Order: sequence, then structure tokens, then C-alpha cells
Amino acid sequence: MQTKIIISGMGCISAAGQDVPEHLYALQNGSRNCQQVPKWLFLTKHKYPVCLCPQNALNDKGRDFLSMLGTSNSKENLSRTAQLLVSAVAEAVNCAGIAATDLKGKRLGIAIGTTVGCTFNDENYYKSYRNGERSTVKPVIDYLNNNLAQRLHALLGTNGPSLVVTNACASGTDAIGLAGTWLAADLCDIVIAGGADELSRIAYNGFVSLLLTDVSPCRPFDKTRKGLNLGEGAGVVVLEREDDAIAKGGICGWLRGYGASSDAWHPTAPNPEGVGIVRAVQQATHFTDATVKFDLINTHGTGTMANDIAESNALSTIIGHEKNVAVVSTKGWTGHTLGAAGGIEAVLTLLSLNNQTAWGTLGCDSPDPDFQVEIALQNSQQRLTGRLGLSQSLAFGGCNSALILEGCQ
Amino acid sequence: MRSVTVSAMHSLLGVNCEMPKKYARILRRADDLTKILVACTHSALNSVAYNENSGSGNIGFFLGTAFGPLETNFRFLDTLLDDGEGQASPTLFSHSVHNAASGYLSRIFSTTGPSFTITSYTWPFLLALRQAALSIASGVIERAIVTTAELYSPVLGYAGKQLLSDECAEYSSGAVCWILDKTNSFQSNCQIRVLDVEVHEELAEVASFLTRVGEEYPGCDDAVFGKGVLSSIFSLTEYAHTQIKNGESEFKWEVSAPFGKASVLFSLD
Repeated sequence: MQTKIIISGMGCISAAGQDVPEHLYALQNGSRNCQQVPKWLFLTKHKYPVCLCPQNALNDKGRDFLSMLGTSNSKENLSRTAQLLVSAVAEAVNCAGIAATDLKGKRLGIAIGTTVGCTFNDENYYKSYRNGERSTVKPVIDYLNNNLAQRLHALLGTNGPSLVVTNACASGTDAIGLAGTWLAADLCDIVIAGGADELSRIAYNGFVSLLLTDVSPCRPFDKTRKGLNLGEGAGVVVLEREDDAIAKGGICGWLRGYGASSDAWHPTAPNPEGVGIVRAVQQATHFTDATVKFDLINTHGTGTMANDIAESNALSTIIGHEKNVAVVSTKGWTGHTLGAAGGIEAVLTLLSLNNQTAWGTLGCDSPDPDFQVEIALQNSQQRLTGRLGLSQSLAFGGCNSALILEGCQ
Repeated sequence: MRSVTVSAMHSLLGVNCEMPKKYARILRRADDLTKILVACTHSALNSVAYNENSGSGNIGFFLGTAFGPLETNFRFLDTLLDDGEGQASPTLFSHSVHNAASGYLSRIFSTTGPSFTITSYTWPFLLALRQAALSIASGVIERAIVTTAELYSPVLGYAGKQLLSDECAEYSSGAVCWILDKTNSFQSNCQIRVLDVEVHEELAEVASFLTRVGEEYPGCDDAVFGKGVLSSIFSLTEYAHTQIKNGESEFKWEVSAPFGKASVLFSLD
């Protein structure tokens, strides 16, 4: 990216924690939060564990944020995905040292990635429709009321560019990357970007039907891996042009590059050679102004057979025989949060870079011997000597995207 | 915004489309939304210089849709409700993901550049158009295939009637595809440029997203384009073709609605 873009704030909520400090604690302690689907979420006979946020998706920071805004939109009108998003946005904006009310009047853009968050999932309404029974139209009103970017603009009282990216598992990464293009094109001065997704019974059963889930906690890159654990959450960054940034909270890092590509291969499985993600990373490095030598790679690393081998093949091209690169997956802590993944993993990549530590892949004890690159093992810690990280995502539909992030330590 | 050339503009009203036989096998499991997108994109690409075997990384796909494969989502839910959790259809689930169509489009047309699916209830095609123009201007791609598609959902139609009593008509199904090019990089037969795309969204009664009551644009005619998210874009496409024939050197198309306003500024080459 020729325009220098700073990350002036970040926020995160997932099974690993309610905010960025809690995520740091989870990374440091290797603590996993994986459970059977609780009844308050939905009923299921399946035993595939999930990584969940608390039942109350709007945390204290989120509630205070809405209170400060004096919004008349009560929590009940916000979807679970929107509540998770608000929780993360509240932390990110606060981290940037900006008062929520100060965003009004600013040229603010909002770019959010999601998957479940944009679909109509109210089974009771659909069942009534199928049975010819009359029911309240409120679920449809709520569905139309919760386009995440528009809803956030409405809560903030702002009016600028807005986008909801629905590129499946690459949505959050793409939202951050596209937000960078807005700043470079002077469409706005500040952008809230990232991803958010809740767990739904439809998505849960969908992934089970595709035989992509594991009955045990996931083991990304491990030779015994059997699949992923679904998760939910939100990860958000505040982006500004470095030259005219208004944030007073200091810098969390820089967005140095972004690339995206298509596999043109299969509806759900990645190209086994990982050529698509290689292309995305090459595009990101081509357009970056940094001298590219990665110190950390935060992979997509879901724990499925197909994804992990494809990424390993791709990484052998991306980093070749380079030894001092820490290659990790953070999905052992968060689960696969679908549209939120790119946003959460961007935050976790910055957290690692800024603490100069790569925490080994939770769930990976014995890497698959077919892998071409060395994976940082569970319970290991690797000191990072540089500041450059790559966060990459591979998605259904063959979408691949990559962010180059620079830490500030 | 730096200008981009519009090399082709095609519309497909309704769901009945002529599909080239060579795509039959690859589309055998695709849903109707994907099929009409493929048909419309095929028509658009046929009118410009294009080689589908070239495997270009310089071509990006931008799909803007309000409701996406909503009906496929309900078909998946049917299998869950009727057959139980162990029998839900993986094919239907994978096609119910919002960007499912983009996977087919990139495979069929052999494009390996970026592919984005964007969702909005206002004017998703215009948001996709703006982003596509930005991507060309930034040098990431040289050509953008910008599409939109909606399929009528009886469930949403029912909801529309609940919101507006029985005055809510069935909203239009169909697809639109525009090909944008970096100026002078590809042969084209359209001779028109997009100079600017503006979209301002505002808070409004959400019923208007579905019913489009209060939406106004040039050539607004329910009898021709129906009512729905696509109607204004069908009209935009026809309006642009008409202005080209009339030889208007610069013209602006504008739309307004309770949920905001948008405009596209064109010039002839």
C-alpha cells in the first residue's frame, strides 16, 4: 500500500476472551474454551464442540458504548452478531483514544465481514410460514435491521462509506483490506473494519453435513487432525492514514499490504497446492511498501485435512526454506469464527507482533509429516525479532486473502 | 474516483435463461441464483474481447446482492426440519453461502483475480460498482466483472405482505452484469465511462428495503422492471444504453429512497 495506514485501535471478543487483554492471557496460558453446544444457544443431538462467547454477547464495554451514544436502539433489537460487533468496536474505538460521540461528523467508513450475520436464520418464523400459520413479522424486521455496517453507522450517528463483505471465511480479512483502499482513495478519513459472526444451528449442521467438524478440540496441522470446531466472535481494527490520523491512543501497528485471489477450483475445498493463497500473498507483497520478510504467519489453520495441507504447500512457496518464521494457527483458542475469523486473527497477529512472541499452535503436538514447513508446536514460545506478520484466510467459493501487518514494538 | 470504461452492460429479467451447453455439467448442482449469474455474465463477456481459457489474475469479480441465495438457505433448512440433523444436505448448505456463486463464476470463466460478494439492502450493485472502480484505479486489476442478482423468495414475499398488507407485489428476479475495464486496456464496444459512483445510506423503516415504496429513479416503471432491489439497476442499465444512443456527452443517473440516495456519473468517450 503506497498510502501509509496505521492501526490506531483494536478490539476483540471470542471464546478466548472478552477483550484484547483476555486474549493475551489465553495465548500466554494455552487455555482453551471449547464446550458442547449449550441449550441456551440451540438444541442439537450432535456432539461436536464449539467455541462460544458468553450468553450475553454485549459485554460491559459494549453496553457502556451504547450508553455513551445515548442510543434509543435497545439491545433487544440488535442481532447476536451485531452485539458481538458492538462489543469489539467499543474496545477498538476506546483503544484509539476516540470518544464514541466524536465520530459523528467525521468522514467515517465501516467495512465488516460476516456470514451468518447476513442470513435469515429464524427457524420459528420459517416453520410458521411452512405450516401456514400466522406469526409476528418481527424476525424479518430484525433481519432487515441488522446489516452490520448500516446498523453501526446508525448507532454512531455517522454517514460514510459502508460495506458488508460476505466472502465466507475470508470476509473479515477482505473487509480490512478493502477499508485500506478507501483510505488510499480518500473516500473517508477513518475506518472501522473487521469481522463478526454468531454461531447458528444452520451453520453448525451445515459444517457437520460437510464432514468438516471434529468431535474433539481441533488440532490444526497435527497429523491426527479430524476437522474444525466452529466458533463465534468479533475482531475489529480502527484504520487511519498516518499523515492525518486523529486517534490519540497511540499506534497498534500498520496495515502494510493486502491481496486477494480466487482458486477457480471447487465450491468448498481449497486448491490442494494452495496456489490461490500464494497468489493473494504475492499480490499483498507486490503492493506493499515494506521490505517483506515475515517473522510471523498466522495461518487459516482450521484443522481440516484439506485446508491444512493446502496451506502447508502454499507456505513452502511463500517462505521457502526460511527458518526463522513462526507459523501458527490461533483457531485452537477461538475456533473457526467464519466471517469474524479474519478480523480476530488480524488482532491476534498484532498482539503477537507487539509482544514479540509467537505462541505455538494449540492442538498441534505432532505435525503432519507431509507438511513442507515447520509449524510452531503447542506450548512453545518463539521470540520474534522482527515486526512483520502475515494473516491469511482461505474460504468457501475459493476466495483467498492476505493481510501484511507490522507491529509497533 | 478515477474513471473506468464500461465495456458491456447486460440485464436478465426473470429466471428463464439460455445456458450454453458447455456449462451444463459444471452447473448441475448449482442453484438458480448461480445459474442466472452465469448466464448474464456469459452474455456480457461474449460482447467484449475475452478468452475464457486465458486464466487471468487481472480480472476481479464483484457481486452485490441483498438477499443472496436465501431460497437455497430455506431449502437447506427444509432438509434439517424434514429429515433431521443427521440428514441435512451438504450440497444445499455449501450453495447457501452468500459467495457460493463467485466460486462457480471464477471456475467457469477461469479468473483467478480477487472475488468479492457484498451485501446491502439498499443498492448492492452500486456498492459493488464503486468498489470495482476503486480496485481498477488502484492497479490491482485491469478488468472487473460487476454483477448483481436476486431471486424472489416467497418467504420474503409473505413478509412483505405482512408489512404492507396485500399491496406488496412480488419483487423482481434476475441479474445484471457490467464489464469495467481500465481505460484502453481491452477492446470494447460500449464507449462510455463511469466518472463517479456515490452512495449515501440512511436509517429508514426497514419495510422499505423490501417493498421499495418511495424509491424514485429515471424510467421508474413497475410494469417494465417490477419492484425490488433490482428494478432500479435494470432501469439504470437501460437508461445508460439510451443515453449512449442519444449521444449525451455527460449524464448522471440518480436514485432516491427513504433509505438514502445514490448516483452514477457517466461520460461518453
